[in-house]
Amino acid sequence: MGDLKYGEINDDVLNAMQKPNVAFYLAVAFLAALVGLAGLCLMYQVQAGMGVTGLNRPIGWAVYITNFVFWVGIAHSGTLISAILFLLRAHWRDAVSRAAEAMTIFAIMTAGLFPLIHLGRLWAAYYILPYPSQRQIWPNFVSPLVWDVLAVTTYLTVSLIFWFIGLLPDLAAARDRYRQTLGPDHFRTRLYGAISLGWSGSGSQWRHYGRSYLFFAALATPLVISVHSVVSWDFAISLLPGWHSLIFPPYFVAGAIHSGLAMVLTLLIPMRKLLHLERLIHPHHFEMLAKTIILTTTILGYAYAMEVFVAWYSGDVFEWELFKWRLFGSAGWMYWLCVICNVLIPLLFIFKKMRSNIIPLFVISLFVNLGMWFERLMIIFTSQAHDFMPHNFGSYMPTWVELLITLGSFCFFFLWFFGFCKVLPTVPLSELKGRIADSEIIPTGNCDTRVSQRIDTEKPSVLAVFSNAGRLLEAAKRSCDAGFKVMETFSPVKIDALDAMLMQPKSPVRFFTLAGALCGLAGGFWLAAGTASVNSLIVGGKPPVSLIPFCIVGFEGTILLGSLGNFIGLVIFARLFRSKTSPYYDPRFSRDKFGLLVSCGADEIGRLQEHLAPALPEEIHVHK
Amino acid sequence: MSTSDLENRSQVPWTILWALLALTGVGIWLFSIDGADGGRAWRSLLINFLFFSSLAGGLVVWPALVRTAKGRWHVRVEHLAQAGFAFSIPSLLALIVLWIASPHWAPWYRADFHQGIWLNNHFLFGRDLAALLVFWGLAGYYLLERRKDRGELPGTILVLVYCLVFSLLGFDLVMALDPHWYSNLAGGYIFMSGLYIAMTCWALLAAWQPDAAADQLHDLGKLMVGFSLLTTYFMFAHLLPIWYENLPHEIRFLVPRMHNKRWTLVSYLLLGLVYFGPLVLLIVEKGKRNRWWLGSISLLVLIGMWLERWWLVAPTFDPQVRLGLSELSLAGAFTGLLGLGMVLIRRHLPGRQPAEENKS
Repeated sequence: MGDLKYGEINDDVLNAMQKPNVAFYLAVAFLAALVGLAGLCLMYQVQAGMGVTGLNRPIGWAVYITNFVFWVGIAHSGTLISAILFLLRAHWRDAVSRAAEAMTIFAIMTAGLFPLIHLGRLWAAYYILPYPSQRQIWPNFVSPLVWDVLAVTTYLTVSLIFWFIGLLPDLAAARDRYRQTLGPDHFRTRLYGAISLGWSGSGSQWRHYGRSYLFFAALATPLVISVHSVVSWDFAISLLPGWHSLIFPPYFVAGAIHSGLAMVLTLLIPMRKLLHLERLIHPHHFEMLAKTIILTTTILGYAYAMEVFVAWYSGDVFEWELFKWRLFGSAGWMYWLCVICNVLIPLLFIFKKMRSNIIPLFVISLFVNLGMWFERLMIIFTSQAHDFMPHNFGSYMPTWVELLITLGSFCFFFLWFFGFCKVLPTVPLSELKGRIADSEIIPTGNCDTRVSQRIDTEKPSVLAVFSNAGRLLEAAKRSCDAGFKVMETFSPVKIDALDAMLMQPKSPVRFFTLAGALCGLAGGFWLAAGTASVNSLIVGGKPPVSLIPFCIVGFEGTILLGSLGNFIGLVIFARLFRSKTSPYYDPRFSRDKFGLLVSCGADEIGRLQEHLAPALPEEIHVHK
Repeated sequence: MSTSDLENRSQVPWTILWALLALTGVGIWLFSIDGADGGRAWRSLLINFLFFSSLAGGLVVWPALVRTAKGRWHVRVEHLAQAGFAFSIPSLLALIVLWIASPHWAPWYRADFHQGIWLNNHFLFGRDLAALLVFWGLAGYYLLERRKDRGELPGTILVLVYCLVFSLLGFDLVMALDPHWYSNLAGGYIFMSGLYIAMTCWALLAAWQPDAAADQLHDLGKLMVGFSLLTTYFMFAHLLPIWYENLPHEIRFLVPRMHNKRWTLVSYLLLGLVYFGPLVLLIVEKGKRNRWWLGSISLLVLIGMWLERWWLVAPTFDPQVRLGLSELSLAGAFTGLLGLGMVLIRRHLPGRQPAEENKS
C-alpha cells in the first residue's frame, strides 16, 4: 500500500462495489437455495417434533448447540481485530478489520438461530425475555441460559453499532462517489446519503468520532471476553464430568478467537482475489493473522493439557474415566482430530514459508475451522454420552435434518457475506488513508489559545483546499498565529495532531458513555434483583437475590447502555441527526482533498489569503 | 567526574538503605522461626517467594512480551523492568530454603495423597527448582542477547516458559497446599496475576524515574488496568462455578475465605483494592499520565497484591487473620534484596539505544 495515493485507495475499495457479474448471482442463488432447503428442514422439524433429530437420552445437546457455540466463537475474532488490536495500536489490522467486523455480525446472526432451532417449540422463545408477565414467568437471572440471551443480544447490538460507526466516513465516500457518477437522484446516492447521516469529515465531527470509537473499542474488549465466557458457563455450571471445568471461560474465549481468525483467513483470501484488493490487503496482513493464530494455538494447547492433567490430579473417578474415554474410547478420533487440527497443524505457522504463502494459509485455516467445529461437538457430546453411571452411557448420530440445517447455517453466513462484499466498503478507507496522512504530518506546534470550530455562515470566510494533510496543518497554524480564531477543517481521515494544535477540548461524548455505563450497571442489578424479589423463588438451592451471578447481568447492562450512551453522545455532538452535510462541504473531502475554512471579517480576506499562501493551497474559495 | 561516576554516587545511599532493610528483615524473620509458630514463619517465606518471584520474573518477561508484539513504546523504560533479573538468585535460594524446611510446613511432606509421586516432597521441589532454573537461565540468556540487540526468538520463548513455569509453581505451591482441592485454572491465575504484579511494579518504577515520558506512563497505566481486569476475570471464573455447584471438594477454597468473617474482610479489601481498584482509580487519562498519582496507585496495588498472595496461602492453614512481624519482616527483607539487586545490576543490563528511543 506504500505507494498508493488517497484517491487510489478510494477507487480500489469502491470499485469492488460495482455491479456484480453472473457468477456472483449464480453463487448467491445456490447459497439461497441451500438456505431455503434448511428452512424447509426446520419446518419439517417443527411439524414432526424433535424426534426427527438424533437427540435422545442421554444426549440432549448436540449438533445444534455445537453450531451455536461455533458461530458465537467465529464472531470473536472480528472484535479482536476491530477493538483489541485497535487499542494495542496494531496498524496491520486496518486492511482486514472491516471484513472481520462484518463476519462478526453475520456469525452472531447465524448463532442466534440455533437456540431457537434447538428449542423445538419456537413459539415459546419469548418466555426468556425479561418482561413483566402477568403469568409470573419472569426469567431466572441465576440461569446461565438467561445470561446467554443477555450476552449474545448485547454483543450483537454493540457489534452492530461499532461496525456502523466505523463505516460512517466510508459510507460518505460512497455517497459522494455515487453523487458524482450516478447523479444526486439515483437510488444508490440517496441510500448512502441517508445511511451516512450527513457525515462531512469536519474537524469537530472527527474529534467526537475518534473519542467515541475509542470508547467503543474499550467497551467491546471486555464484552467479547464475557460473551464466550457466558457460553462456556452453560457447560461449566453443570455437574457433568468434562463440563464442570473452571478453565472453560478463558479456554473457550481463546478457542473462539482461534476459530474466528481462521475464518477471517478463509474469507479474506478469496475475497482479496475476487474483489481485486491485492493493492490494499497484502500477504503481510495474512502473516500477522497467522502469527496471532500461533498465540491462540499455544493457549489452546495449554488448556487441553491442563484439563487432562487436573482430571488425573483430582482423583475424581468419574472425571478421569471420562477423559480416558474421550482420549481412547470410541469417540477418541474426535479428540485427536481436534488436537491435530487445532494445535499441531496451526503450529506449522511457526515456519515463515507456511504463513507467507497463500495456499498453506488457506488450507490450514480450513483445518482449524474443521477442528474447532469438532472440538465444540466433542466437548458437548462426550460428557453427556459418558456420565456418572454406565447404564446411562449412550451414543449419538446426527440425522439428515440436523446436517442439512447445519449446512444451511454455513450458507446463511456466506450469503450475508456475499451481500456485504457488494453493498458496503470491504476495507476501511479512512483508516488506510490515515496511514498516508500520518506520514505527511510534520509537527507544527500548538496555537496560543483554543480555536472555535463554529463557523457563522453569515460572516465572510475563506476555504483553502489541499491534497496533503501536512499542508492543512501548516495552513491552520499560520491562520491561528495570524489571529484568526474561528476555523473548521474537512478531511477524509482523522488527524489527531489537528485537535492538539487547535487546542480542542476532549469530546463530551465520554460523559454520555460513563452515564450510560453507570445506569446499565445499576439497571442490570436492579432488573435481576427486582425480578428475583417479585417471584422470590428458590431455584437450585440458591437465594433468589444472588449477587455473584447477578454480576453478569450488571456487566452486560454496563456495556449495553454504555455503548448506547456513547452512540447517542456521538450523534448529538457530531450532529449526525441531519441528513445534510456541513455548509461549504466539497464532495472531494471524502476522497482525497483536505479543506480549511477560516472565518474572517470582510476587511481581512486579503490578509488571510496572504497567510494561507505559503502553505501552498491548490484552490482558494472566498465566501462573502 | 564522569556521568556514570555521578550516577554511582547517587546510588550509594539507596544501596545502604536496601542492604539495611534486607539484613534487618532477615534478622527479624530468623528470630520468628524460633518462636512457637515456626510453621507460620516458613509459610511467610512461601508467601514472599510467590510474590517476589512472580514480580521479578514478570518484570523480565514484560519487555520481551512487548517486543514480541512488535511494540516499541517501552524502550525508555525497558531497562527498569529488566533489572528484575537481579532477584533471580534470591528467588532460587528461597525455593531451596523452602525445600530444606519443608518438614516444618509442607502438608504433603511424608504424607500419602491420591496424587502419589506427584506430591512426593523431593519430586515436587526438584521439578520446581529445575523449572525455575530454566526460567532464570533463559531470562539471563535473553538479556545477554538483548545486549547484542538481538533476542527476538529467546524473548518469545521466555514468555511461554514464564507461563508454564509459574503455572507449575501455582499448581505445586498454592493449589497443592490443600491436596484435596483442585482447579485447572489455578496455574493460569498465578501466572496472569504475576504479570499484573510485575506490570504494577514496572509502573511504579517508571513513575519514580524522571526520564519516563507521560506517554509511557499512560501506556503502563492502561496495561495495569487491563491486567487487573484479566486477573479479576480469572478469579471470577473460579468463584462463579464453585459458588454455583457447591461441591465439597471445591468449596474448600471459598469457605475459609468467604465464610470466615475475619477473612471475609480481607476478601472485600482485595476486591476493592486489587481487582477493581485500578479500574476506578485510573479510569481518567490524567491519572495515568500523572507520575505521582500513578506511582501512588501502583504502590497501593502492589501492597494489595502482596496481601493477595498472603490470602491465597494463609487461610488454608489458619482461620485467624494473623499478619505480623513474621510476614512483614520477610516482605521488607525481600524488598531490600530486590532493591539492592536492581541498583547493583544496572551497569550490566543491555544499554539503552537512542535511535530506538527516538522512534518510540
